[in-house]
Amino acid sequence: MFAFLRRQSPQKLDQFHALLRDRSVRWYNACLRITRDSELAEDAVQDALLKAWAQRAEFRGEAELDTWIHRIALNAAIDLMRRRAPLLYDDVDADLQMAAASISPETQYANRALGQDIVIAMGKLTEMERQCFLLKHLEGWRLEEIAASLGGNTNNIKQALFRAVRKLRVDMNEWNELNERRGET
Amino acid sequence: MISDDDLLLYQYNDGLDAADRERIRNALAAQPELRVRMQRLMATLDQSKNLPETVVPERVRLRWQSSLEVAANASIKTQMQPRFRHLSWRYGVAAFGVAALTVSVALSVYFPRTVMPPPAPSFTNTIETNLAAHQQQASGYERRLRWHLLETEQQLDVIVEASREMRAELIEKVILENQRYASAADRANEPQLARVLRSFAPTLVTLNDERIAKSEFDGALAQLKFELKVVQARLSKVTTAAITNTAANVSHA
Repeated sequence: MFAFLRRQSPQKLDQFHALLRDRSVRWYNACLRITRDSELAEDAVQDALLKAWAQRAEFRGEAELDTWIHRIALNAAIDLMRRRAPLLYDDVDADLQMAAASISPETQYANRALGQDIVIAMGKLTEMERQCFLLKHLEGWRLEEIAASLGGNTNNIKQALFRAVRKLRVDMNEWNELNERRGET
Repeated sequence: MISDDDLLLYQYNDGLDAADRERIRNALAAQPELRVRMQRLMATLDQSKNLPETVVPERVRLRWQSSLEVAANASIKTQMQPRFRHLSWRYGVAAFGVAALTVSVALSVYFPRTVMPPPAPSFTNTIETNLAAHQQQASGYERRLRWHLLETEQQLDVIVEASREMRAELIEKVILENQRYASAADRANEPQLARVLRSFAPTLVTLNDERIAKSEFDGALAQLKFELKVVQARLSKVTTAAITNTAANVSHA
């Protein structure tokens, strides 16, 4: 069956599979940060892939397709979050796996500790604050785009973003100071 | 006085009007300590880019690949068929079914509002009426889902004996139907059910793979049948519990 498929549309399907192989970690992690629920993140990426496949004729290159899937997956994640009843997230991130890195054990340890602290700091934000911050700071969305996706107006989004930043600064300043001291020595 | 919020928006190049941007730009040019403040702010926030990255589980990647393969296969088949082939007897039957369903839904919505209110029911009649009402309510999405699960089960029995082409056709039909029910479950705020239905897809694709060994085929088939039974049992349990609750509520009233 799959050989038949490849005869019919080899480029597109192969292109999707290649993207899936190379970029799905990024899509999945972006969705996971938004949802903090692995199952919702899985569903969001799947929805995005199927939507992208349905509209595959509109994409001219892999970069465009990647960007589009990434964005649709995030929107799907937000949508799935909205439809789901609120959950408590106390232990959700306990099993977050760190990617293997070819760096020194000390740096690896420090990064792991930093990563865990960020996860904890993010956990202190409300859902709205966390999503606003992630979409703005990590994903680079415009305030209008965030407002359109999360609902509300840009002023609400700004306020949620400012609250998130104030909370994160309290928790992350320590690391910043540590980095600055490292930089000086 | 320029706040950190302003500095943040300036850095993002978003959410400030031209006059404010100009004011902050001039202030940054004139005040080195403001530049340091902004750098510190962004450095602190950029720590968030060190969020740990989670590895995508292999089963999840396989699930995504399977759904893509299914979608690709379905779209190719659709492209290859001449338009009028959609009007085959199967589509006719399906269209008739949809029309009949639409009419019955329309009647059930319209008539309860327009008929005269019935006389006050007796106690026993109340229980029966409430049970019937619940069953009717449950009979919408749940009944169709039960039917789909039952039909899937029967088709799984058929595919064992079916030719390769027929097997592929049946499995693809089940997968597409499954996707529709999963989307409906999403809309009905039943995310767990949606996930269970979506999780059938990789097993179904495995069953459609002509390269797998018979033992693997049998194993996948048995697994799928078991999962179908579990979902059916859960559905029955939920409905029975709801009917029991309805009866209990009525008898307490």
